[in-house]
Amino acid sequence: MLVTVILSVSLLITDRQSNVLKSTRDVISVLLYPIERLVNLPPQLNQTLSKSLLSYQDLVTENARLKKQHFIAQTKLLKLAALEKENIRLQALLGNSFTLGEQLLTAELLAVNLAPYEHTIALNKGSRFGIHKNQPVINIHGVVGQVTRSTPMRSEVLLISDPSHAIPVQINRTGLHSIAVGSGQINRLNLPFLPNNSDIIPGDLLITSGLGGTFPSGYPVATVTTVNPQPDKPFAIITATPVAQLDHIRELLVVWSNTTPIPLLNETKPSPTSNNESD
Amino acid sequence: MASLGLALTLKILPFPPSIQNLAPDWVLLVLIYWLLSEPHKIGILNAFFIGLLVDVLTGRLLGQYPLGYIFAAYLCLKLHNRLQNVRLAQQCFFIFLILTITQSITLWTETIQQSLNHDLNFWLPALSGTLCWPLVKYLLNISHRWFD
Repeated sequence: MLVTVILSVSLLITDRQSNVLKSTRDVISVLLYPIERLVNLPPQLNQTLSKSLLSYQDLVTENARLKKQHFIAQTKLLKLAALEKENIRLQALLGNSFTLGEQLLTAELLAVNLAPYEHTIALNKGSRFGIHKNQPVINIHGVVGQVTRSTPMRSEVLLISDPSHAIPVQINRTGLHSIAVGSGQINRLNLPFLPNNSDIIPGDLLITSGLGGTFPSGYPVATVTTVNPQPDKPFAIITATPVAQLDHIRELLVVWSNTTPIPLLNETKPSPTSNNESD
Repeated sequence: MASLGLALTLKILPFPPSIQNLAPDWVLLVLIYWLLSEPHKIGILNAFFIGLLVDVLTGRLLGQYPLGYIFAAYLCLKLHNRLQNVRLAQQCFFIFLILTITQSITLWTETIQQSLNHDLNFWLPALSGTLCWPLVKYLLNISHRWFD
């Protein structure tokens, strides 16, 4: 009795303080993999069935719709490439370094429930695919959360709506920086650190600011829903709704941010010239 | 063994959020059943390892569930002679005590990980676990006799 109590308390402390127990956790999680597959089976079966029972007509209409969507997206992308180059050039004029380009990996939600009091989800890909702690996770609408733990077969993601999660954001319209803290409700974030007179109105889009280094800058996070100035308190009460629709997610993207900045004016200054200059 | 596997499955089975808070700790209930009916085969060490499995499965710090389960196992082993001979209602009362103690240990270990403001709903699994106990006991009794 005493031995096991001491053992589990020391396990708790070790796991809290360091990463030593990761291999133990990995081994156990591989052993438990069949149970996860079993729990995930009914939704998966449902998906496969609904896929195979689609009618030909439905497929044709969907295909036409997707082709149109793809066409529009491609055209927008053409413009994006030009904008990107222009942005790099302008940033170079200001003397800033500029980072762009992230690698993405698609992953699917595992239909498992981890803890009832936390907004955590599990993904079907883990450290076998190179997923590691603190990686941002997004879907096609916006930011979803960040990876808190990865085992070989799965990874656990903390959603941005969890009360213990905070994400550095920027108001897209004005560039004002703030922090969005999870509220514990799946469709609400709080912005507790904005003064009463700050320039923010309902409908403003919040994007990641890139501060803190976990989330790359520029991804949409939430739209502001209510702004309530509190005349007798230093900060206003501001709430926002995550754009990623956290309760409807199925397919997600895990992001590897490119941390090395693009060298300034790399196309105009090849390496020999810079050598000559230094001489 | 199979019943524990089933309980682990139930533990991570997704329910609608409204019922989620109500869901009892199935693994603990099944563990208590085996501790009471086979106290010579199942002991505190088994409780420890089963707790480790639950930790990994639900993504807790390692050692959080084992700590609770060890205390539950200790109480069960101390009380199993008495618990065999009392009426079901009385047994349920003891089970409620055991579940509440385990839950309070869980609360303590959760606050190590992060400061969460739990409300009264946090104690619901202990209550629902007590209400589910007769059912769990009945079903496991049947399967136990079947395999013997």
